[in-house]
Amino acid sequence: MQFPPFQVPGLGNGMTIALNAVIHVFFSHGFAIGVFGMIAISEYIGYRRNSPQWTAFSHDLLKFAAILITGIGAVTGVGIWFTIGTLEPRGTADMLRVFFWPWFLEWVAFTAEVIVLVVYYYTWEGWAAHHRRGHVILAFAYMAIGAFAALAVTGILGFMLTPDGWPWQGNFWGAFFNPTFLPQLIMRIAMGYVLGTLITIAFLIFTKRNVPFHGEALAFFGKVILIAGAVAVVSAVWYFYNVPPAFRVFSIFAVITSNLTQLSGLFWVVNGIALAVIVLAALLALRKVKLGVQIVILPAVLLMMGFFTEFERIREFIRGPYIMPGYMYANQVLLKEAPYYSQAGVLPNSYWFNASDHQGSLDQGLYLFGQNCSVCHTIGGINDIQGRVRGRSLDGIRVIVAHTHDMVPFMTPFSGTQQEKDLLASFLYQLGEGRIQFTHTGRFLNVMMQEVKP
Amino acid sequence: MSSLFDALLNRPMAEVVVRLLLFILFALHFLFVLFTIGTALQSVFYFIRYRWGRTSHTPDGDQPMKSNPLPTNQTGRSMIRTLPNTDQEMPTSEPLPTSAVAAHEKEYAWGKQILYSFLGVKSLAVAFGVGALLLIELGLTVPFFTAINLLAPYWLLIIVFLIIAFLTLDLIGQNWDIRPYLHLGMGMVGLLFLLAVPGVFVAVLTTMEHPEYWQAIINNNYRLPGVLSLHWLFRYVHVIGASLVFGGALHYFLSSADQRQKRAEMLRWVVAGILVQFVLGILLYASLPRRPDMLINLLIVVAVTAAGILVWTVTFRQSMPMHATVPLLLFVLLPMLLTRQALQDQGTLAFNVQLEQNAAVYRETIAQYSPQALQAYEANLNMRYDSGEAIYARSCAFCHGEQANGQGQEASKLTVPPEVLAAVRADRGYLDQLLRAGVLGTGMPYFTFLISSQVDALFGYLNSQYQMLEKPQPAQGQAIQTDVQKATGVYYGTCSNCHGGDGRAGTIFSKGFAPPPPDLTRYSLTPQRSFEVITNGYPGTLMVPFNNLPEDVRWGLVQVVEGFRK
Repeated sequence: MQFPPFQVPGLGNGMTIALNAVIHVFFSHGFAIGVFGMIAISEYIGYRRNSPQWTAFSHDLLKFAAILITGIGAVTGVGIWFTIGTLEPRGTADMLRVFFWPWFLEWVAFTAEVIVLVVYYYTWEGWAAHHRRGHVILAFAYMAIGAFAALAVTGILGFMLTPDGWPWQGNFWGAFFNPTFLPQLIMRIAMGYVLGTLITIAFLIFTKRNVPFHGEALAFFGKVILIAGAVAVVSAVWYFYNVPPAFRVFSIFAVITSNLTQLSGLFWVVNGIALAVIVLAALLALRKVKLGVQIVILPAVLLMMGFFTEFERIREFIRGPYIMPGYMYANQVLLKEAPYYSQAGVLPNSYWFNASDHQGSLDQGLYLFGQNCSVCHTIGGINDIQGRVRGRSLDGIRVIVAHTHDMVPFMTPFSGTQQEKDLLASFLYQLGEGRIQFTHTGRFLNVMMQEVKP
Repeated sequence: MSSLFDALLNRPMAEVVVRLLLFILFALHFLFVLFTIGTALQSVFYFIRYRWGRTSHTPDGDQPMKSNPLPTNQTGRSMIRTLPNTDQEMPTSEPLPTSAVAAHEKEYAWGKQILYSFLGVKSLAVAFGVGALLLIELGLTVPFFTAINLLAPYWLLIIVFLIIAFLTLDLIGQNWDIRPYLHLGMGMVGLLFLLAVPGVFVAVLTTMEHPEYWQAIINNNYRLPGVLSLHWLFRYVHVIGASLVFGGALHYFLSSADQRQKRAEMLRWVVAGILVQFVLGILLYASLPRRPDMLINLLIVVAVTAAGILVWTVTFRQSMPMHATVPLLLFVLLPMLLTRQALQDQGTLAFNVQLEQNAAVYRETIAQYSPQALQAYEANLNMRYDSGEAIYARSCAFCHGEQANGQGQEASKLTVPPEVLAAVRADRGYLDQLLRAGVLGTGMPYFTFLISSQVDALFGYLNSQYQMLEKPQPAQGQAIQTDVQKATGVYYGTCSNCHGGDGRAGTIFSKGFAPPPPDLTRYSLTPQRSFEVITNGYPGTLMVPFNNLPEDVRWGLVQVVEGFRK
């Protein structure tokens, strides 16, 4: 509890981080790995077969991809640092201290990727006559660096769900090469190829090319999707097999959310249909059915993006109350800090909250909400706390606050003394009853609130 | 422990290495940021001047030109398409001087050439920026995270601003020949969003370097207070001024040797930029919130001297030979960056040492709780939350009791006691509703996070243990006397006001009750429990005790109530 809490009003912290991260994944996996793979392969085919069509296609695709990779992919990559650093600063700081070197190497790889991409981009025409082979090698170098960057990040992401023995022994290598590392790495790369190849087909089919080239390229890309797709499915099964059952049990809920929990069969139906559409797109491409591909390719691209979103949502959600399992809860309280706070209190130990300036329980309650709950719950936005507590009795809310982690295993436990639990419960009760008037700006300190008389 | 403290885990490398690496990466990042902003500014400037402005120089450099040299029936775009290079004459019925057309086309080419490099310089600015970000988060953990937290909305908006700026500028960079107004619109949008970004960065750095103002920022509604905001303003425009100098220098060196006119133009950017920086620098110096020390003053003197020599050289030689210029530019940039570093150190070095000492104390304080925390974590890890028994034990028992007798550890704290679940006899659909909506006016929350298989498991468990989904069995025992006739009269005379004549509740009288009376056609209790509730009432609700009624009438009411159950 080191930083003045802030929340993105309406959207909430989780959704803000997720929105940026998922867009980044589309570009880092779909474009930087998948589409760029197809650019490299297309240029290679053009070079080997001396085919101007393949070479021209590769160049056109590069121009399209380079703007998006550097304009959205790279920025949302930095955006991950921006969002987590702002909304989960303590978690980010500690993760960085555990995994500095993998992250630093990932940055070295990213910088190398950017440099190679820039050189590759600007030398396309200059090297056309004499250095085409070198240019092709540059493309494959980019692919290799991209895969290395994925490797470095996957170790860290895997740790956040399956840290293995790290909480006890603090062993870095065990934490990095954790049980979900390898399956997740393979799955990410394979899914990147599926998405990237689907996007490549969409680019191919909606830009002017001569007919024989269309057919030849479609059949080739169709094969890539089927192979990469099969690898992705197998590695996904492998991945989930390695997730501890305590976390895995919330996978379906992570996707269907509170609204559809009683229709959990829908999860399998929708996923089945999505998979079928993608396979259909690949088969139509393989059989060179241009009209069919034109019809299904955009839905297939969107559904593949849906698979990425679904996977990231599950991975982030099921790690439940932890941001660093065994070390830190999602609300940035250390596991070993929680018992300390239950005795010493949060408010007297907060640098930012001056108890003597805030004798009113509303300020205290709001601040405790900011520290304990605002990582997931908003006031008036996504996952609104008001709806959660509306209609409950004050003593009921007191009990709920005391048992958040028991009642819902993926919720963090409350950190603070009994008196602070009561302060928070009282604040939540009044909030639920509509007795507090204020404009929530995402701040939990120095906020003007008014109590409304019933 | 109400003081701030550093992150509790150790840094993976020595602080001095972090500081050195950070300085190098920040310098590279800053250099490419200057290139990026300078490039965007210049490209938009040349596009506007080409399309609407005056072209002041011909290839000979001595013939001022009238504004808009294009024939009225022809746009710049169409003209360029018919004019592949400057050596060709323009096919128009209204001839212009060849030199004027050539100069005009050159400005068109400059803008295009300048912006074509944007994709590369901005990508490198981002890449070096990430490295610097990692290191600043590692080295100045608390000052940096606090600064971005205090200015969070602006900091997060940078992502959106950069995407808009990069996409618009790169799109026109790759498709220069689009409609002029669209081109101008995209260029201006991109430029404005791009120019906003250093504003936020400068604000974050200013905040980070001045911990003594953090409380004032909160009190000022999370905005920089007067002293800092003035400093921020001059610091920001100083960065933009620097981008004119370094943007000009970059495109001077990227111009081929035969582009003499462009090179002369770029020299003017450098000289004008440095002159502007002299003025802005004085204002920035005057606005420093802390008194600069000797080292800072010395560094500024070095930078200003180098800049002065550069201006003098460029002005008199009318060229920038790389061997002379690059060292001079470095002698401007490096002392300025060192000045920034020294100013930053003034505010953060000693502060950070204190944070580390506080962290050491705090680490000791909480170390004793580690074993119990790990034990709890292990227990959580071994939990399988998919059986009814596990779900009940974890999520329900603390109120309803391990034996479902309503005597959980928290039960005594609740005004409306938790129901004795072992005594509930209800239909599945009704229980589903209770579970998914909770019960108003009580502590019973809703459990929408349980998926259908978990709900099945939970009710399956409760049914196997307590026959929860069965219908109530008639009361057993010789001693029980019932007076159903009287009980029926009591029910319709009194109970039906809330429970309804048909047992479905929802009467006008009971509307809005929290908790609401149950629907007796779907929800019932064992006879013994029903008798208890009728006799003693249900605390905290409007179900009052009816112990004044004779016992046989109360047992009769039990039968009446059970009679509603379908």
